[in-house]
Amino acid sequence: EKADSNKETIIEAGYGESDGKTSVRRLSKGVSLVRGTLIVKAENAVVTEAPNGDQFVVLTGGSSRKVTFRQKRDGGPDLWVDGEADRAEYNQSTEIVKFISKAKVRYLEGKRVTQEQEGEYLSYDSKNDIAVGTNSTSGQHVDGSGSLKIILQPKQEKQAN
Amino acid sequence: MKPQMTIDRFRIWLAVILLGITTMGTIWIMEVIRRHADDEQNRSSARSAPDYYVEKFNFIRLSNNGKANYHITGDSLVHLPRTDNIEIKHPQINSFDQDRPPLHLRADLAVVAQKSTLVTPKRDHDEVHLYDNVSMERPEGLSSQFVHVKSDYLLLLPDEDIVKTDKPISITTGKATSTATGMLANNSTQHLSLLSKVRIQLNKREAAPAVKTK
Repeated sequence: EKADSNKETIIEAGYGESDGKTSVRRLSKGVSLVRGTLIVKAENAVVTEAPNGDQFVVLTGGSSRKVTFRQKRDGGPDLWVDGEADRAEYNQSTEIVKFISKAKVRYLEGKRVTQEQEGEYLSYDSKNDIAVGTNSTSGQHVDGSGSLKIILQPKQEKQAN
Repeated sequence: MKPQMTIDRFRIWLAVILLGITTMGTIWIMEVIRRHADDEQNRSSARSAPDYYVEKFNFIRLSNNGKANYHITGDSLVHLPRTDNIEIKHPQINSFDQDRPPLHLRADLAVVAQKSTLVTPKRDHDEVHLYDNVSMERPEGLSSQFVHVKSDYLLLLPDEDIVKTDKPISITTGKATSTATGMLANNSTQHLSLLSKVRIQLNKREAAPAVKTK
């Protein structure tokens, strides 16, 4: 959600290395990134810094687990989006989370899944609440290499309560 | 007949007495020498109490090329002969070298285990142990960004330009505040590893820059 964009990012890990010259930080042994309501978990992370200081984080699931993410969505009291993939990229300046290879993103209302997407490349822009999905890890559509699957759940009748 | 015999007996006894005195004398002299040697040995085996101390000082260690490698100022410096260590109260250490970013360190106590052949095992490099309220600051430089490290213990190996600790530590840079337990930092390669429980907090962009903690 928008409010996340002016919250600081907190990254936790079991081990960390940083190279002052190239200002590249490598984290491993279980990494978690929290920014407002956005929570991203992975095995390893590489944080590089743009000249203007914005952080660019690449998270990988490693052998044992996938990269997972969950964030609150604007436009409703209990709207959430969560997802997982083998690899994720998070850019602090554009605030876009990219999920690459065997990616899955789900839109939820409370616990109920309202929409589900699966594909090789899924990206979610939390600042503008835009999701993009394609069938190749490059983010561009590649003919004939599988398709994107989107499952839309029917709208629930508003129970007159 | 009697007096003649007594003269002989007298001469014999005289010889015996003389002999006794000389042997006793040598034993006595040997004893004195031995005891003296012991004292000497005791003093050189270095009593634990300090043998000199300095107040309000500036200790400058020159590197092989003759330039100042690092200098330490402090309230008091005490030399402990047994370990050939130097203990400094409230030390301030500034290392400055053209090819390496300068470093400023402060602590409540520093124990400098300097290169020394007096102790066994021989130490071939300097070790500077910093205890309590340790702070290490490196100013913003051409090839380095501002870093401020705080911990309860830091070990400095000036010859290899390495700073390390196994204690919890906090590191503040212009962009982030990190905490961890255990750190290994090489100042010349600018490589820093945080050994466990790493937590990095990236500063908010719009917020005012992190206030400079003195």
